[in-house]
Amino acid sequence: MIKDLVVTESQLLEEKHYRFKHKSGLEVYVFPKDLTTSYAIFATRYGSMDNKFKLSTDKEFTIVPDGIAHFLEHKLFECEGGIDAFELFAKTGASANAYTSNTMTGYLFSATDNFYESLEILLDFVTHPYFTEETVQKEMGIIGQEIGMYEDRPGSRLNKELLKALYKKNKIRIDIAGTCESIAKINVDILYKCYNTFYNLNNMTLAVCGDVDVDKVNEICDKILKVAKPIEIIRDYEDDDEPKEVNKKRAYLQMDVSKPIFSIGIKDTNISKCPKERAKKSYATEILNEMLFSQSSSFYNELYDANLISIDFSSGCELTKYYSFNVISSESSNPELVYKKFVDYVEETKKKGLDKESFDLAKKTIYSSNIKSFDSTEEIGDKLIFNVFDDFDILDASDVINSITLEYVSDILKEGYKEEYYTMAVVEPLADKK
Amino acid sequence: MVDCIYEIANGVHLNYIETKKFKTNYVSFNFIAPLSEKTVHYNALLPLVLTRGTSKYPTQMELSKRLQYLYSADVGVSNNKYGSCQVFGLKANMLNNRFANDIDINQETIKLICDMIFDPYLENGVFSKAYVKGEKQTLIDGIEAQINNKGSYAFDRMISEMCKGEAFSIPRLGRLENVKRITSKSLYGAYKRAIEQYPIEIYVVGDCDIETFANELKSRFVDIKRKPIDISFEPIKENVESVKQIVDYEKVKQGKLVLGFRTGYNYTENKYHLIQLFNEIYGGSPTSKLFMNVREKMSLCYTCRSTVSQVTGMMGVNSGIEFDKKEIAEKAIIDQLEDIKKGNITKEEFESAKKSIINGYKSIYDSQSAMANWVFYRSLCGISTTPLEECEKIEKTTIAQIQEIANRIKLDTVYFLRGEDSND
Repeated sequence: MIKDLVVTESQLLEEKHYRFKHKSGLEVYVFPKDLTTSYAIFATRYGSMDNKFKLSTDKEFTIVPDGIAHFLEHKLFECEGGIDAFELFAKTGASANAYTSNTMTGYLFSATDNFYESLEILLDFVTHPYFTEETVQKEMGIIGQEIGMYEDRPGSRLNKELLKALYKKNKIRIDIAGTCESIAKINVDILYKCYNTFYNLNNMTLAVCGDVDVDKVNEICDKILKVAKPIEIIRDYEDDDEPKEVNKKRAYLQMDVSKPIFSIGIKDTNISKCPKERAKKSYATEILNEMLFSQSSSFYNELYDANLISIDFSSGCELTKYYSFNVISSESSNPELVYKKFVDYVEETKKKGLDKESFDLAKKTIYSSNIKSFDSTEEIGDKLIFNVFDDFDILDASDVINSITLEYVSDILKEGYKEEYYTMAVVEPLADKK
Repeated sequence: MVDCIYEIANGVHLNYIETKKFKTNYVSFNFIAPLSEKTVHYNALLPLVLTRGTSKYPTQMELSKRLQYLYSADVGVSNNKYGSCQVFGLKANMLNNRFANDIDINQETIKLICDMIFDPYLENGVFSKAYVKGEKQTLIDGIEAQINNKGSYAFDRMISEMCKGEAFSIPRLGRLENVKRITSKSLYGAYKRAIEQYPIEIYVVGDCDIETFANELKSRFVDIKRKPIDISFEPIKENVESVKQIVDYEKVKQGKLVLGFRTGYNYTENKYHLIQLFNEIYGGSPTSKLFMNVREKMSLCYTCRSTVSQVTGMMGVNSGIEFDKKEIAEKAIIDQLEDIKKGNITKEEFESAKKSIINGYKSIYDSQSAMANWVFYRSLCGISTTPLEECEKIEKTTIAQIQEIANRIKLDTVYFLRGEDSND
């Protein structure tokens, strides 16, 4: 029997999940789902932004090279005796992977058979680091090529430039993979230092989704995990004086692209400390985006018909406790003109006010896309953990969406959309190809 | 897998896969055409224009609002090459009726999609000039933007060099100069041809009133004179006279090396599981020979993987490397193949690859579009096995069979996309 097992249900979604704190210190979520594939993600609250930190018992902060969280993710797959964790998963047939973001590192697998064996492997390899100077050196070559691959991708370069234009201090500016120069400074000692700090089970969460039994998951945790000493990690994000305004108004970059690609970013520094309030604002911003910029909007249709934006025109917001911004992007023959039209359109809409009909339709869209996101174990697992790390429960999303009013969305438009919060990054075609 | 098939009209079928596992219903309309320089650009453009407006909802704004009203059915266009065929059309994913109490989402959405296909917005009996002009530009932008993704660009370049003279070398979006010449009238002619002559396979995966949908569809074909053409694949080329070496120079930071092989596999053999299992061992997974050796042991690249095509029997190997590592990477990639040809496959490698393929096959049952695509594309090759039946075939495969498959594989083309200067 599991002590203090919490069950949460959503009648509308016809879904529920279990949550418990394993005695090792690990927080565990089990989301039952009657599908063939089961999914597990074991994640730590540790990403590229965490480059200055200490334990509450330490005197001094430790500062580490950029890209180390991602480097560590690669290195954890190497187990003692030169075996690769992928080889272990190969024996069970599970499909394994991992990813690093600004604020988290997750190790995952999906499996149609042998789920519990794979879960043992997952918990085991992530809790048993094994680094040598030789293997660290070798990894630099592989990650160097990974960085090179992203360097050749216009979308990824555009996104990096946009973040640097939006923020002056916020550590979201740091490239997740770091640079070839920064990763060259990584060695075994620094890797262990980071590992021992952030891979403490009290700083981690396991989320599993599928045809999975909560007691069995608990048993496997019992078998593999050792009790971790509770610790308090103090992170210095050095962003106390991040201005409300954008860092710079424009960022340009030249690459071998057929047409300019732009992203307009809208910075938001007004981030609530209350997780539900953040979720509400995030869904409300999605509703606002749907009203202002979707294919049903006058903005999209006018610009599309004038061949100023392309069919890939999109908008999306990212709101976590660490950063918040909204982005609209597309290909365009004239990004400056799009920017001007964007500014005018927002001002005009503010004056006229948002209309009830398009609000109702947009809300329906967000309501529907939330329900649709509960059809895949992988999507549920990823979404669950992302929200848990932002202290929000995905089963509350429908209620939060329902609570959003036209007035609430109108306030976001009035307060959050001002020129000093806007910036634009552009990838232009190479000069000799223009 | 398919629970029932309705013959809607001559050469038109509605295939229903019933499942209650999902919160949505999936529909796809697939037109099947021969891949030809004369028609490829028309077929690429058609779905884009059809989703611009119907006679009842003539503008994109009205159409989008109607879709939002129907709980935002995601309607998308499709256009794929499959061997010497082109498959294009529309697909949609809609919320199941049980999540709405005000409207019948499924029937209304299906009606709307039928309207897009059978009752598009017309001006003077042909497509709107403005819509055709706008969507031509979208298609042109798409063709021009292929250079933006250097990895897929390099792969397409390899295909165009390797398959010169074969239908498969024809680009999926058509050629710029041909797109530019399309008019509202000529596109309407292509539309008529599609509706009257191309085989049409419609798939529904989910839980809905399929009878009503079948009747709705039948009513749409009443006034259409169907004269469906026969679709057949070009014979597959197996021989390689000499290996082609192609180098292109572009402004890239990383070199993209793509190797194209002819596997000698022919879909009529109905032994695709063998080639898939071979691929898994060679370069299809993170425990494959390419990944473990070229990436992990030699530290040459981040990406190094192989893919095979069921219908063309071609295999491609992709990798991203430093410019001066081309020869060593090329040799390493070929060495791994030679290794399999000699039968150097460990029991562990073999069992792992089997499990991995089986895992992939079984997970098809968790995605509505994957289920529909599994049945549809295999049916074009005359194959009707389910993923679970394929799993059984995989279980029974031997290492000797994989070695035999490997020995049929021939390198055809080595393509390298690189920058002018050294990249360190």
